Amino acid sequence: MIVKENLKLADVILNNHNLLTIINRFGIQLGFGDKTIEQVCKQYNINTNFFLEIINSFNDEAYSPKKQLQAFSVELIIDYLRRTHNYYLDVKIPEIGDLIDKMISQSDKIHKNSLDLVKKFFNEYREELKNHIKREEDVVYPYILELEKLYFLSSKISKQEIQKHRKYSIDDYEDEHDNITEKVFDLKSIIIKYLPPQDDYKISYKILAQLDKLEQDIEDHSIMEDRILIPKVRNIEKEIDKMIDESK
Amino acid sequence: MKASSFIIASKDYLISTGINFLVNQVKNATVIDNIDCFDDILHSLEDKKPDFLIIASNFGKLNKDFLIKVRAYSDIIGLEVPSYTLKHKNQYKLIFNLLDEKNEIVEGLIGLVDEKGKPKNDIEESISQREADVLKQVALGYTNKEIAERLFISQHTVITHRKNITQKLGIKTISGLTVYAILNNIVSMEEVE
Repeated sequence: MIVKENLKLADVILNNHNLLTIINRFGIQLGFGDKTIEQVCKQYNINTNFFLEIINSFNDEAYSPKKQLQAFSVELIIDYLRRTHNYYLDVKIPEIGDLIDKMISQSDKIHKNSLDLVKKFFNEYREELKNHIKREEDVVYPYILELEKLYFLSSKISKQEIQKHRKYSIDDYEDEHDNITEKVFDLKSIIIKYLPPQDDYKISYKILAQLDKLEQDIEDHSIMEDRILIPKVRNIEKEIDKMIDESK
Repeated sequence: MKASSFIIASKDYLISTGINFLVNQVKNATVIDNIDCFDDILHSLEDKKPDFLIIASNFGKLNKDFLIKVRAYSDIIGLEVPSYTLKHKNQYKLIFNLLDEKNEIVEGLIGLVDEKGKPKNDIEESISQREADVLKQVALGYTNKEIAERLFISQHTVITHRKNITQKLGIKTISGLTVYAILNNIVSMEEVE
């Protein structure tokens, strides 16, 4: 189903409840009655077209929003990426952490060491993810936003000023942009294959389901960075370099 | 048998959906990426390292240089679309035509996947004693160079062992391997800390 602005948001969510995590990222609270997507977006001051592209790409795997998304400003895309970061750190990671704690508290004493190991591994992953996100938010995103601002103001700013900001390049970021889902994959392997069976199997299933969702979500997030944000920034960099060259 | 991974490259939605459907009919074959923009191809290959790239003949300039670059990462399967004839046919592992029948295409894919997935040497699913030795050193935090010196083997051998370990266990990261090593008493918790 392709979601359009005149559909009722409630119908869309009832049809695919996984989209709850998306509306949550845009700050939309439940209880929106029979409002259409357009009305809800207006109420929350959200760019309706951008919202629709994101919803559609999550709703239908085959939906390819690349061209449309590339038309939106870098600022809008980064704002959304920041929101997904918050969703990982504030919602998803604590949720999985709680489930692991629960698994440990319910397990036999003889398995405690193994499960503590899983917890430790998960904590390591949490730190890795935190550092990864912090790096993006403290260094990479500010660089990109500054770059876009310079680009729009270019005629009013001295060339030295522009040159100063071109010391870092988005290629550096792409190089350091390591694979952040490998540990999630490993954790799934360990739970499926190598942990001793738990009395309460349901909790392992829940953890696996959550890890799977997180992995998928982070992969979508990376696609947005690698295939939409980075090419956009690279274009801006090229334009700016051209301006510097021309002024020489 | 190890599953073979596919990346499908076509700008036409109906073509890529169709190929996706056919690949999914093959046991041990999985589609890991779909590309609809020519510039993304090399990046995706480098990132995902598929066994096969299926590319439509109308996708872009499939010149020799490009094909050789692609082959550094994966085998190429060409899909000939009417009025776009493929050149440099010897660069392709297999070529089929948009108008071929379903079974013809699927049989061709099965042949390739079977050939690819055949074990090179007898694959044991659990790791060997030597691999366990290497795994222990990895868990203890040694680098490939240090492991080579400690076990009196070449660095190249260490890397081969590590590749096999990761493939057998389905665990990629060092901390994941460490958890496995402790769970299976290859190394103790105290030694690691």
